[in-house]
Amino acid sequence: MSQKIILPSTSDDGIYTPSDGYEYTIGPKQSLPNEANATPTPSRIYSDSLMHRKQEVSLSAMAFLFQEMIATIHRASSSAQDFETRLNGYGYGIGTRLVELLNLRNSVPPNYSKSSTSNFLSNSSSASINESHGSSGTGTGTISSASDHTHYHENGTESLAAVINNMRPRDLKILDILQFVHGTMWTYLFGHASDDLVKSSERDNEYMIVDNLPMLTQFIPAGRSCDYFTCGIIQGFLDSAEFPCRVSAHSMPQGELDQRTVYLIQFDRHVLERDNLRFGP
Amino acid sequence: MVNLSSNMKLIFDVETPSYKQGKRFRNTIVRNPSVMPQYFAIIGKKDNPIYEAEFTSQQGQQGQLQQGFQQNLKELNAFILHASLDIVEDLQWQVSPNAQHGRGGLSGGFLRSKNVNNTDNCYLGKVDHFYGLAITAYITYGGMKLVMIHGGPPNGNTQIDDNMVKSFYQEVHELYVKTLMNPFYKVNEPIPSPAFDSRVRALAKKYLNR
Amino acid sequence: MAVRMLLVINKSGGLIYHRSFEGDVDKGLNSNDYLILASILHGSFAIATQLTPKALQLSQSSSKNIDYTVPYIPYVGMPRGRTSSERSKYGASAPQGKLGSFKGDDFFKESFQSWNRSGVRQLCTDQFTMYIYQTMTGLKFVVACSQGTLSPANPSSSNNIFNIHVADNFLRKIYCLYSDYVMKDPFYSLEMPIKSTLFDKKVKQMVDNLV
Repeated sequence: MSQKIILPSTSDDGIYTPSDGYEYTIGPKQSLPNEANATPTPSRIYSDSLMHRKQEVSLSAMAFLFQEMIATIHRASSSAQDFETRLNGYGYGIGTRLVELLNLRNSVPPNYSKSSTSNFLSNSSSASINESHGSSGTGTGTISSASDHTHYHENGTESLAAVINNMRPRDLKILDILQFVHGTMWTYLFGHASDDLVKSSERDNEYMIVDNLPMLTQFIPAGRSCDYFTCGIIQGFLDSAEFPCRVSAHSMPQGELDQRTVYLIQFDRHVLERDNLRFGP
Repeated sequence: MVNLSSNMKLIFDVETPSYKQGKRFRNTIVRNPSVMPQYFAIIGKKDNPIYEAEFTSQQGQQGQLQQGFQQNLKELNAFILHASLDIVEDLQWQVSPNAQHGRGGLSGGFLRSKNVNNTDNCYLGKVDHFYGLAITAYITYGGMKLVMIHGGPPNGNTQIDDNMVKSFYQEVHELYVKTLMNPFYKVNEPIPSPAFDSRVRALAKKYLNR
Repeated sequence: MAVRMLLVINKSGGLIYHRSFEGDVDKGLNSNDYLILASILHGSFAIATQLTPKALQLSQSSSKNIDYTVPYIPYVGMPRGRTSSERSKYGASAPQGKLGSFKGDDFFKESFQSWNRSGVRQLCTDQFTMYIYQTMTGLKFVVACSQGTLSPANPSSSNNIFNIHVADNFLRKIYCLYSDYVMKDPFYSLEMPIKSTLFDKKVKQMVDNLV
């Protein structure tokens, strides 16, 4: 960390300067009288619900976007290594967000909403869609079409946390988190669980996730691996959940499945040590 | 403790350019046992604070002034909070960090507040205490630590209503996830959004200062 | 085997894909010859209106509303033996995304408009019959087959309109493959020769399904 002192993470624009610590000379922002009673600052980001709404995005649209992304990165990168790193970086941010989002959504009791399964190609995590529950961000909107068990704050925001009794436990073991990636995350992204989850027999820090037909890269002929995007998502997910690792994609055709792709996950040594320490070998 | 704090104060006085002083209005504090102040912070992956806030009572009438931390101790809040992070990080990797209370002798077990008995390992309950201040913590799935110092009556033990505190944490967690969904927000960056701030304060009022 | 050759010609007359499905057909034709062949086809296609007998032109223009709709003919070029009961049985277990970005068990299931309104649709010789499908953007898909028809179910069909419709259905599916495996390939540049191995493979599968 830099040696710079010290910054307020307060929300006063006047004193906000980019840094990464406390500002002791100012201290945290205090509550002002009657502040809590005031209407909250309007914001779409905070007034929209995180609840999944089934909304499919066409695979074609996604494929064209992906194609343009690959082409842009490809033009900009100097080597294959560079290309893979950049593509990985594009996915990484998605992974770090999915950790929080998917776990939070999975904490919602299943009977809360029927559409608990989700699909990345069917909706993105962004809070851009909110037709049915419209507070339109003013914070004073009235609730028109709320079902019985929809909870709202006073300011009209639908809150997921209010319906959660117990948060889904954090995944602590390597196998648990990999199961989550293999099942929940894959289903969210691609509409089905990945085809296999294998532990390497040679090295104990290596695990493999197998996809027989990678959804995003199925139109791209072999030659240059564009699966590093998915690698980035996996890596971002695991890194963020504090299972640091490296992920690489390998094309391994098998029989008729000539686009079968294996994502090789190599955990850092200390992850294994921690696993052994906490849960026994 | 008082000595320490006045020393700290001295250091800050030396380091602080005078024009920064008094930039913000500071409340005069008189302690009222019924309403306790809280100091809340979200700590990022590198132990960097990404959000901090102090919740003082809103119910001050004329003559009964607003509640807050003792003026000469409040600078220590960040230190107290960070001192508890080691405990939080130990509990982070325990299978059921909340299940240990009652079984004395295990690490941190005696510090647990009561009434927490479930498999939930996001809310860690009371993790630490410091001269009458209690510290509770919560870890998000992405490893962000939500930590709060609960002020208490001067000579008594601070009582924590786990259910309310847990609800508060969960709501803030959801707000944090919403922040994360903002494509212009990067993990581990400070959250400067006034919208976030106002919502956190509304939650604090709802769950903490009933 | 009916299909002998498949060509894709871009809107400016350049050959961007050619593939023959019988080893001995293209003896004596090198790739340069194919390019010339494609250009000639493109040229004669363009002036086809001029070649049409005047009487026919008049009769066409008099009847304003000619129906260019091509009916959907089920499962042309799709895996054989898929009766409706079998389909429902395998439908669930079939790997997802088998038809790329197309949902269901066939690329399309509705009749469509032919954009080939003034050009050649069919060319008959003693040796082969050639069908041309033109897309809205001017891309041309050309198939040459040894017999008069592409319909596997009805190999001796003499109904010429039906044969054209089968060929249009088939070529439109090739167009669907093109839209998936060529247009969505980030390393393909427009109007250039198609080198995608995936497109090759899928076309081969579809042609084989016609047998």
